[in-house]
Amino acid sequence: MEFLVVSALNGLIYGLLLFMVAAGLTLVFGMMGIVNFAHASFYMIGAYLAFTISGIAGFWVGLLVAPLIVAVIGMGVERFALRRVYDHGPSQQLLLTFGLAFVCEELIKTFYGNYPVAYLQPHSLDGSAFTVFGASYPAYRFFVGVVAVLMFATLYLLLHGTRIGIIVRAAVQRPAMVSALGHNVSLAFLLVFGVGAWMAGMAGAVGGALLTTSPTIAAQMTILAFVVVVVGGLGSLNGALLASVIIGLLTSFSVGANVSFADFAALFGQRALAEQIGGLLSLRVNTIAGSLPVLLMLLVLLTRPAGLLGERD
Amino acid sequence: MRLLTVVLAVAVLAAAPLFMTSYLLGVLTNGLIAALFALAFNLLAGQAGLLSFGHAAYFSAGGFAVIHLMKAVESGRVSFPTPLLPLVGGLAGLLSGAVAGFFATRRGGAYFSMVTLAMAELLYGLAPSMPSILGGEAGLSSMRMPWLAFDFGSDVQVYYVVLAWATVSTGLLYVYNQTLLGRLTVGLRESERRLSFLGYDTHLLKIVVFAISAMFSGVAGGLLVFSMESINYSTLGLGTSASVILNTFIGGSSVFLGPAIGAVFVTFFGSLASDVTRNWLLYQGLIFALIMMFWGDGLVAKAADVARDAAAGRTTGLVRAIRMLPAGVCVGFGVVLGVELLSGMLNRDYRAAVERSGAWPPITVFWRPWHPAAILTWAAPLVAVVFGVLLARLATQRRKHMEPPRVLGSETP
Amino acid sequence: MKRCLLTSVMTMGLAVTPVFAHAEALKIAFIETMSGPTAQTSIPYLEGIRYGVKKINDAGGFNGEPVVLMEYDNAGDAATTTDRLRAAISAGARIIVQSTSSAIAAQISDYIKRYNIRNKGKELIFFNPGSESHTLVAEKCNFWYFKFSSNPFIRDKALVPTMKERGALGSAVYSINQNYSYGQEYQKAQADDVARAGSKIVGAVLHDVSKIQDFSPYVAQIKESGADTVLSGDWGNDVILLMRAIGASGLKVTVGNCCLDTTGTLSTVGHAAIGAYLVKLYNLEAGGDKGKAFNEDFKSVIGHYPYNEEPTPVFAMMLLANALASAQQPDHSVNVQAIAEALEGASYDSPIGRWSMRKEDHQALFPLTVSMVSTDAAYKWDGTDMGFKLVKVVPPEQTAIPVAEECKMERPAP
Repeated sequence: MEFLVVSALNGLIYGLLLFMVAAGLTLVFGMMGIVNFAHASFYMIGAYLAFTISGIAGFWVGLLVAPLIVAVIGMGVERFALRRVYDHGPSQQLLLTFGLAFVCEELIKTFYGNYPVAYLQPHSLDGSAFTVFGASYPAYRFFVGVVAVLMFATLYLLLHGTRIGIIVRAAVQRPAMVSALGHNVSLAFLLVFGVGAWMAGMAGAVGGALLTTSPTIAAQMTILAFVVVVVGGLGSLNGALLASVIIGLLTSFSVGANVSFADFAALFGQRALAEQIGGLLSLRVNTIAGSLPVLLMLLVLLTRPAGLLGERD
Repeated sequence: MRLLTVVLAVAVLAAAPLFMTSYLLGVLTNGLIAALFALAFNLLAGQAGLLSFGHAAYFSAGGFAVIHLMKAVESGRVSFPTPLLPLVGGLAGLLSGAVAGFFATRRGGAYFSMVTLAMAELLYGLAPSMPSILGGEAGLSSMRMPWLAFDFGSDVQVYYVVLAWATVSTGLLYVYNQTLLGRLTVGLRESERRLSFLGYDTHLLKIVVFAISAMFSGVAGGLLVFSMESINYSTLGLGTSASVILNTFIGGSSVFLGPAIGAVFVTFFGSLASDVTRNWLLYQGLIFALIMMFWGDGLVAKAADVARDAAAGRTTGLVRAIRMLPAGVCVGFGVVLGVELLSGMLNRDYRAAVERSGAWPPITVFWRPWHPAAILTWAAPLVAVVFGVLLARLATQRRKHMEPPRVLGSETP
Repeated sequence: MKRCLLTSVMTMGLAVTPVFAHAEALKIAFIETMSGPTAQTSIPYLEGIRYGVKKINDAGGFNGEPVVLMEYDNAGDAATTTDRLRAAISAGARIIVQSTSSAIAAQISDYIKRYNIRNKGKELIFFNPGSESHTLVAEKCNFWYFKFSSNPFIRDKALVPTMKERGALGSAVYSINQNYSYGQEYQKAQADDVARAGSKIVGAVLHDVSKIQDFSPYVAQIKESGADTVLSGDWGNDVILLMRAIGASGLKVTVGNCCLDTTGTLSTVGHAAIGAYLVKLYNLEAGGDKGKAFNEDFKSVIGHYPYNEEPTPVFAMMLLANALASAQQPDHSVNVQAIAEALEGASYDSPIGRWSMRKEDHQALFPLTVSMVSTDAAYKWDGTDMGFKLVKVVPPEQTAIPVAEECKMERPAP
């Protein structure tokens, strides 16, 4: 029982961290139709900047300032790089962001070295948040979950409760019409991109101390962010939340699943045959736990491409 | 005219072993293989408009098929002419492409790209669990067996086999364009809906195109294994898929030979630059990003445009290109100097030297030592970049009184 | 008569002098990943080889000429490796050195095997101080290939009994490793060694390499299994995340690992690492005065104390130096077969014990050190207040594993 509860909590919080990264990605796609390969690079930059700033002024200052800098960088990227390729079609946008992700990783390696840096959680959050079944649950992990929930709440309120939010949501659906009504759609694009980058930067600032801060985290996060966005439905914020929680829980519980296809075949009395064929059939689920999100993405793409809560077109 | 250029190019390539060192010949061999892979990739990406992010899978399928056949030939179980080994690679590519294509091409656009990415990533993730087919971390290796008069032991013989296959495959791909299927492929990119209205089964069409693209990718993979006599599952990774994308679009996907030239250029750049600096990956990425921003059609397409215009008498493009040259050199010099200085200073070796000696030793870039404390060291790259950007601005400025007014409809589309 | 003798002596002298004047320099090519994603792991080997070559040259070099070290970057890529090999060969290299990536080591080993078959008389030696894969001295064993690194079997053979001696190996052991040949070998080694030590493996799992970001599910599994000891061959991000997850959950287990000393690991794991056991080829605290002298000398040449894997290539090069000393040819040419035969029987007394080469499969035999992470250590590591306190030096006889059955070495005629 303890295992179930702790695993569920862990999976939930991990999923929420993924949501912070994927939210910006799905918003940008829904709004501008761009799949931003470099989005997870914002996560990485956020983590590294928070590391540098926290070394000078403390963790909390780093947490506050780093995402803001990432937001500025994000807006810079949109204004100077992406804007050029809007008219050239989706391929070129994809390729440009791909190139930017590449450059970003190399720049980080040049400045910080090709190994992990010690971005650690603050001592004030070192203890336990609460106890569950006699075991303590780490405070920092809980903090990450709280930040993610706050972020989602704020975003939701912004989009559904403020005038700017309404304009942005309208611009997602009908950019030409909104522009004709006199609103500055390119400013709206710029802001959305900036907010998305801010969220990813914040995710990096909290996640970098929870997980690791190294040049490889952007590539790892990119795949996972794509999985979340595709499974949830491109453009749907609610879908991203749902999908990220599912992925988090899936990763958490699959580790405990010490079963293979051969065990499944045993239900039909065919265990010996499956084990004889060997290879993929005797592969255990917990060994490929890291590949399960990608498998899920593939399945979703093949059966229900619009994702769980996306729009069918 | 065109045929003459082609024959000339092939002749030059055929004569390469005469004037190239063994090392450069090896680089050229890799360049030809990369070129074939890029052309195969472009069939799908450039002509059919389907951007695949997982082409490493079909390239590797071809490679693994060839290594298994090579091992079988080596152990004497099977008899097969050595220079025809890549054929099996093509077959493996065709089959895997047909299967993968069936699933991937159900939708287009971003979904297609995601599916191909997911398939390749999944395969790569499962690869360590399939040691009998893919070998473990150490991979699989074999040896080319002699056939007829050739022992295929020398690099020159390998080069000629690769050249032959590359030339024939390129020719086939070119001929493909002229066939009905080739025209239909372009139609897929231009307007899939119209094609389906005309009665064609676009899903089947996409599968066929995917399979053919995968087939030639498999040949390229097979050629790589033929040349290196070994392979391991790291070729299934994102790096391989990324490099073919880089090669194709740096050259340009709209001109037939664009990807090939891009691939050869990038291969040589990679080999030669990595001898000189450790930051060559950064430069490669920067070049790619810049090309995507400013010359989205690729370098070859841009060059071809400018050349065609110049031949027709419209020299503004050429003049602009010439005027951009000093700007480019300035910016390039500034960026390289800045990056090399920064990376030199942030390097662990350097920091250890600083700790040891207490002083900040100079860093050598462009054969000149630069002292970190000197103002020139930091001013030089900054000034160079700013100056270069200004020059670029000047070069691209329209001097209204020098250009004739543009009349709509008089320009070639 | 006298004049005839004088003339003939002078003529003979003139005839012999050109041979002395054209002593062939031995060229060693170091092909390694110096850029690209995995570049970081190669730096210790590069520095170790440079130090080793300097020591050889300080002692007079080979054939009276300094040994030439050429460095090539293969960017971690297989195709580029073949290019660099060709470049090195055309530049006259006779010994190829490579470390780290076992995949590339296998490729080079096979390439050199084929090259030596096709180019009799111009053979090359492959000197491999870092790659771990056991296949290299099993199916791929080769007369021209020399392996100096440990592998999971060797390391675990030293670690587990030492942990048992110290009472750190509990009765319930959990085995967690990476899902590729190295991790799979570790899993097997752990199973065998733990059984031999009388404890029980209560859970074993393989996970994707450098892909899992959240190790807390694995820690929950470990807790569920009731293990009091965790054995893992994880390295890099994986071991960092594993250790941090264990620390964050408050789980009290003793960890046995091989790779906590890579750059950035100890500082990122923090105090959660205290009490963990590390098995490695060298420990700065070992070797008494000889060890201290070596540490200081290394620091004076390279700039820091030897860390991580740096001693491995150094000791390997010292063994090569001893072999070279006995392979000098009277005509001062470079006879690679003689060098290989000398290497087979060579040995070197390192500060912590004797390094020697095993003839049957060309796997080196050496002592290993087992250490514990502690704030009590003499040398602080990675900018933290912790270091690796020496627990035991395990002698070569106890670390050696049997020659693999699959190794069928073909020896050339002398």
